[in-house]
Amino acid sequence: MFLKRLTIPLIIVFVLGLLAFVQDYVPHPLAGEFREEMTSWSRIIGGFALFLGAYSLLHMHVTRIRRKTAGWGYSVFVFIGAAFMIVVGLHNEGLGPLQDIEGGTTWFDWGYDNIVVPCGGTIFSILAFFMASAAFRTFRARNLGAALLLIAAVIVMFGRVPISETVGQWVFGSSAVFPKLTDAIMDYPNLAAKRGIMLGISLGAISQSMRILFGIERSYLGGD
Amino acid sequence: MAQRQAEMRQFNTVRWTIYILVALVVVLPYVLRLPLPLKFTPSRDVRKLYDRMDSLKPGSHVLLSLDYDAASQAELQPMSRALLEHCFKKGLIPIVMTHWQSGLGLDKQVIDEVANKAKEALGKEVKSGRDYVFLGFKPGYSNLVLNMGENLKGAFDKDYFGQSTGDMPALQGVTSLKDIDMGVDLAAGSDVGMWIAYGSDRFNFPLGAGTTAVQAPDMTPFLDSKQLVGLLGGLRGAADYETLLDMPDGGTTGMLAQSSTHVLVILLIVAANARLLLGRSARKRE
Amino acid sequence: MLRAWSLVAVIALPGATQAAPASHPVSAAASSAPASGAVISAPTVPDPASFKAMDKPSDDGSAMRVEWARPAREAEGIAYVVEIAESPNDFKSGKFKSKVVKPSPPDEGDLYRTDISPASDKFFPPPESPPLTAERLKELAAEKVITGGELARAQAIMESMQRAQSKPGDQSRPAAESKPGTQSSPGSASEPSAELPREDKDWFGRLREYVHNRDWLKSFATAENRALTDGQLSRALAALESEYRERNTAGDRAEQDWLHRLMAFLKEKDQSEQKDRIAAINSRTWYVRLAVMKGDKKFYVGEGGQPAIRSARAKANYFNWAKLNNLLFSLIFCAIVFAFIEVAKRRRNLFLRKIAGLEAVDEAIGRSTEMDRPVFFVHGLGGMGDLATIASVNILARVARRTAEHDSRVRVMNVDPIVTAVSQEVVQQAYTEAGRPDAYNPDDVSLVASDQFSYVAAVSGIMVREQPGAIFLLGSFYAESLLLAETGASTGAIQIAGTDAYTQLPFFITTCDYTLIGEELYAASAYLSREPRLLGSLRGQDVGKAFLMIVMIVGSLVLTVAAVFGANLDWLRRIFSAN
Repeated sequence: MFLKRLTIPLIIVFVLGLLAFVQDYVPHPLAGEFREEMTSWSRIIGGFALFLGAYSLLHMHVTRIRRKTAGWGYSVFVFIGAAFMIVVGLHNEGLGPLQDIEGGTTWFDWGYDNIVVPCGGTIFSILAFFMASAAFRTFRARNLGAALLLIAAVIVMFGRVPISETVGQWVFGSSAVFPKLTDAIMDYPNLAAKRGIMLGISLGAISQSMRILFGIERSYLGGD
Repeated sequence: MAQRQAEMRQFNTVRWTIYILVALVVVLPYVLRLPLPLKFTPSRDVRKLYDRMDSLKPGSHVLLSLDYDAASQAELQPMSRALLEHCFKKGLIPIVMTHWQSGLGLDKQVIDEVANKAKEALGKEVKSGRDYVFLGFKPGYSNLVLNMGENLKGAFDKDYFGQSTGDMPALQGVTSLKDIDMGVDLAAGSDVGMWIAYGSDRFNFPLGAGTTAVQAPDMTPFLDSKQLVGLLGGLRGAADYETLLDMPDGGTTGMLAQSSTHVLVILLIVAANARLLLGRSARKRE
Repeated sequence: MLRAWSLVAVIALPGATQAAPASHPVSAAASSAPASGAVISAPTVPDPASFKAMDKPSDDGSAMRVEWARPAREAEGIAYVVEIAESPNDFKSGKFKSKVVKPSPPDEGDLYRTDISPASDKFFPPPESPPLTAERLKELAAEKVITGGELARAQAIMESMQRAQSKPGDQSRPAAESKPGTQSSPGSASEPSAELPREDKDWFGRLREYVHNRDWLKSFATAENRALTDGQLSRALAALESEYRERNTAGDRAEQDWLHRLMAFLKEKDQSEQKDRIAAINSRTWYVRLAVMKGDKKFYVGEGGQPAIRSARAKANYFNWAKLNNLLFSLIFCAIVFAFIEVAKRRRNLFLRKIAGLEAVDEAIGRSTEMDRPVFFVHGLGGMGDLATIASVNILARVARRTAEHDSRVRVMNVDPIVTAVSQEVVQQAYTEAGRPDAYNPDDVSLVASDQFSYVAAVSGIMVREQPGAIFLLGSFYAESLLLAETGASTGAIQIAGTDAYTQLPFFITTCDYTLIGEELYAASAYLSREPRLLGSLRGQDVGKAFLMIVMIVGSLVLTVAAVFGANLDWLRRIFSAN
């Protein structure tokens, strides 16, 4: 029998998918062992895939440097940063990469704590600026729906900060007005809408999983 | 094309103006050390968590799982600080751990800070192994929690500092998660659900949580079903907890910056809509 | 999320869990019955016919269940005590453990239930290594494992501890070490007392751990268990001793590191053997009896003038009956989906409402081609295990084919290596099917970073430099959603976003031109391909949703009416409860 390119992957998907589905209903320790085994295998496969990813990354940047495409200087930094972390990680204060240094700080830790962590925090902090500009651009009362969204957003934003209690006290004689209004919006219409979306997503996920399990959906395998 | 470029230029000008205003409004309260002129009332969910912690007797064990890294440090580190301060103030024994290896340095930092502060503020020295335990990080995620539920000292045979947990005075009477009196998970990701499913529901200990402000609404179902005893949501949650503790710190000082930023965004929205309405009126008149 | 009432189970009173008969004060001294534990027939005692023990259903074989009915007149201030032993005779000799259960609203009707795992620490855990006794210390000194001075020091510490333990009103609890170690028994070392100097306490703790680890390592080089060769054992013991004696040369440290790695490996092995030992204990037959405790007095549930004894074994079950409703609903839903797939094969014009974001895909790609700019495709942070990522890869196939047909360029930026490999395969296949295999550039589908914010920085930078004409943000996103979308908006590109992460949807809706909300992302491949089988599954999904809506509306009304009229519809709640 001539096996098509996708036959074996589809069989693997079907068998393992079905077993994963069934194990959720089986409390026997064998089901737990199966789950742990599959988790281990997926970690192992992920480990091998890391090499593919690293090659892809480095190849892309080498090509950019060679062709001197726009922004090729940043690609040089990729290699400088990678080389620094690899060298200090392997050196590990002269003890080699397999030794654990308890309590001390190595150059690798320094690189992580003083470069990677602050850079990550910096990128995350850009969110504050982007939220302000997105809010300015988007919250316009163009129609009824947009107006309702705008009013709800303003109430929730205001109710979440302490100044709302002071303003509430001045205007309404009660500091709890805005926080309570905020809680009401979050607990009722917001939660209801969120639950509706969650229900739809859950059903969609079941349907999608079925399509994948039974081989109806095959695009993720690279074509029909 | 020229019109499109002009629109983009105007868009960029507006954007940069907004960015500068936001930067000023966030930075100035910290730089000028403006005192917070506002009082605020801690929320119901924060109060529930505080009351539950406060009801524990001295010597009770509180598991703190600090599952965040530098990206969420701004919101969750003040919570860690406040909870640790509460533990030391009440003589509770915090058992600190993390599922996020990238956050290990932050966890050690907050423990050192609070331990030093406890020495000054409370007049007592807090010592690792005696007054608190820092277990550090171990991979395994839900499997780690299951192992801790069966045998905590087996899951972590040494703490972060290399001390054996077997004889540790701070862990006397604690063999597994069943023996802890309370757990709190400070999570930037989806760790709270994992702690509920594999931790508190299985091994029957009360669990509280602290999350970023974005995730806090997702915890409502767990609060409703009493799977969480309380919740700290975002920097405001940390500020509320500090208020209840009467120990203002990072959360409280951040409130002025946060309040100012929210008010600025609201004013920007109002200005944008005012412009829109005025434009419409002008077009209608024409 | 409905939660059943749960019993408040309190671990047995101090003193009630010890094995020695003399140390079981509750049954010996406090019962109102004669010392044999005879039964007092009282209306506050549960009916013996209702007292049952059985395997806990739908579990992994680690627990057995004891249930009994609430007595006709349940007295105030009582607690129930379940006693468990290995044989009926052990009750007479006092070799049993107890579990105290305080009354709370019963689980079902008037039935109380409690689950007992016999192999847990509180009852009959697997045997641990022998405790550290004075005799053992002498043996170790004779074997020259410890010196004479260390023997004398250890003996002095143990005597001090025993003196402290034997003082009246001593509050110290029995040792509760989780590691295989000591259990409370006369003449053994439990926790060092508070009077000992700190240095002595620490040293004794290290000695105890040293002895325990020695014995543990030796257990791996026996005839029954040859995980270690004799040579490995000698090396390990030498390294262990050097660690105990705090030797710190480079050679010692290297050996100690080797030892730690070895112990980690053996611990994992031991854990699986420990699981087997626990399973063996749980699967034995155990005997239970039930008593009502008021103050210090116990009143046993009896039969024929004797405390009633029941027996049960924990067994691993193959099906979790509590999830039966879940399974049935899943199978029914699957059947509906398959039925509609068949219908769709026959009726090719199944109606689908317009999804603006998907209608705009062609427009976006066309616009990019006209502006001679690339199309960017961003998967988000999910791996191939995320349904959102699989859905986005399905859309990528179509986008890549349209892009190839338009002779344009698609740039795919990934954060996960496996997603990168899959995306490369998908895009290459798409270009081949479009008849443009030569146009495919592997560098256009690459891993750009493996960390969340590094990814954001990389993608944002590429967006600003390369100025795409269209950006697709489809997949699983977290905090980076707004960063990417806002940066994309600043480039003037048309943006189509879609995610199942509902916390990020507001950010996409406010910044992108089109947003696919939740399940619209999953429906995309069906929508774009119009393949009957895929369309049929969508219709089946819609029927499922309609069913849920009807159940919610009707259920809410019925339960509201029932609440008003005081009717009990717990059975209806249980049909839909998740377990």
